[in-house]
Amino acid sequence: MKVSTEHKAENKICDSLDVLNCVNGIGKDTKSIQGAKVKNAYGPHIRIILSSALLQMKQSFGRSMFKFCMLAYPLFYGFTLYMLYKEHSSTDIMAYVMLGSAVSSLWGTISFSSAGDINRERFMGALEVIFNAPSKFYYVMLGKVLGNTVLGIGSMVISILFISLLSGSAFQVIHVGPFIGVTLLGVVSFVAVGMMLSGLLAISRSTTILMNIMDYPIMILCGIAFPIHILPIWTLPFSYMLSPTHFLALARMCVGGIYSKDAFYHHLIWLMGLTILYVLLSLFAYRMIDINARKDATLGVV
Amino acid sequence: MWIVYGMRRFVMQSWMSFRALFGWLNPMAYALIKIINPILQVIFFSILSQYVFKTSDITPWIIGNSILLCSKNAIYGVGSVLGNERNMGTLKLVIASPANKFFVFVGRGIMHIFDAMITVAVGLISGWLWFGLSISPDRFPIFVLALLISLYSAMGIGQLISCIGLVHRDVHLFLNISEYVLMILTGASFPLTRLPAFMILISEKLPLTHGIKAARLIAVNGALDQIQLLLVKEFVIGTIYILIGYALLQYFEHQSRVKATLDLY
Repeated sequence: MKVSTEHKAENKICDSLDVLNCVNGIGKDTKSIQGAKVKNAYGPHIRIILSSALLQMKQSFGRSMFKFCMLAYPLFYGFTLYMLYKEHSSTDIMAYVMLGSAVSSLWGTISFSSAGDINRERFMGALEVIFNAPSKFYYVMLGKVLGNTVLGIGSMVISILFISLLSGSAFQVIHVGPFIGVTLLGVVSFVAVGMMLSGLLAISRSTTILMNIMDYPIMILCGIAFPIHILPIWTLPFSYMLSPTHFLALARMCVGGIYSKDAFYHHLIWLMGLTILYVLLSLFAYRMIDINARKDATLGVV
Repeated sequence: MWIVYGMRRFVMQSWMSFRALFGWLNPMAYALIKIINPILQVIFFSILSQYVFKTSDITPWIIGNSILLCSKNAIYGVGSVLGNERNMGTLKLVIASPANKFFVFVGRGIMHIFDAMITVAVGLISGWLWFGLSISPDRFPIFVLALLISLYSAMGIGQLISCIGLVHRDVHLFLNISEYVLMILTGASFPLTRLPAFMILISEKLPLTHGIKAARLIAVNGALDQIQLLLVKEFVIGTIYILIGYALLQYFEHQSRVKATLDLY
């Protein structure tokens, strides 16, 4: 067992070095460069992000927990929610079961996995390698989060398809254009959350424990499975500070009909504002990592 | 005298294995995972039940979800015991030791029953504090008995899953799936009648299903003979799971001796 763990660690370091080599254009593993379709024309940052994202997707699929999060979790969670809402209208099923389990799956895949990635790299001994590479640490991690995002969107689709099959009702969207726009914005916001959490995790090791208990507060406060207006009034400020709340509100409006443009724009502004805030916080967190890593020299300490 | 000595050794090895393998070295982690998270889980499912079933009396769902909390201990604690032994390099020593394997096997789950009791109590107290859960005082002893039998039964499935850890490297996948299977098939979160017929049949054979039904009946002052019958069923199911788990352990142990593959998976 010990030997296999060491092998894994070696592989991980080699994989991480592949990214760096791809990025710097000095890698001998031309297959990974060709596979990623990384062209010089994209510019250095895009190349870093794309290589990192592609590698992340390959690595994630090697982990059984990720496969569970991506493939099995949407089915189990969606099934449970559907059984609860079985005797409700198709509108409720669409709003709370389909969208709820889709967002929950996306959240689980992006935030949980992205935040855990730093810890995994640290455990495997590859964190210092990535950090000391000439490519910017932030971009390498952004690539990882984006890789998780692509898989998370797959998870979201699985979730919606499964519940459509189960309930026998198709996923119908009244306002298709705004729905696509809102979904894209929502995904960007989730990526920002993933970056922010991964940054916090790198700064504080105790964040790892918090990661394990974050699911239920998010599901409660964001109204993933029920509307937030049934919660006590004092919880609303917390709900409003979380971007999934606004993404869900907007998505539900696009699906069920936008009856109040004011409400739509209200949530849209909140979603955009929070996304910018999360991006700024993630930049700050990564700046702190940079300073602390040089000052304390404990980046790789488990 | 030898019985006392034997009991002492049994309790000691249960306690030592719980401390060593479950790895609660950080009190903060214990508080967050074993107290805060169960509270949040009960709150989430209670609010959801209130909204979905349009009722203020959600006693059955609080009880169901609180008892279901023990699945964390049963599945992630007991279920990963043998896998953890192998990962830490002690499985060979356990298998090679002359100790009675049945007691070693059962002993791994004992402390988890008490630990799970704390988690279930946390869930029930949360339900009492925020959602008005009430159980009449004269029914309290039998309610506690129902909880203990349910937890014993849940440990049975944990020990069965644990054996998978002997032949499969990635036991975590099974652990996560098992947790959701119990959530869906025990009727903790929604009425079992909503499930397809074949799933209802499976749920009848699973631990916790009868225990949850019995605890709910106790809460509404249901007929005692019905409660007793459900508890006997729950106990028998738990025992069957333990025996199947032990038989599997014996089989895998034999296979690993013959093929010398104990540490290979």
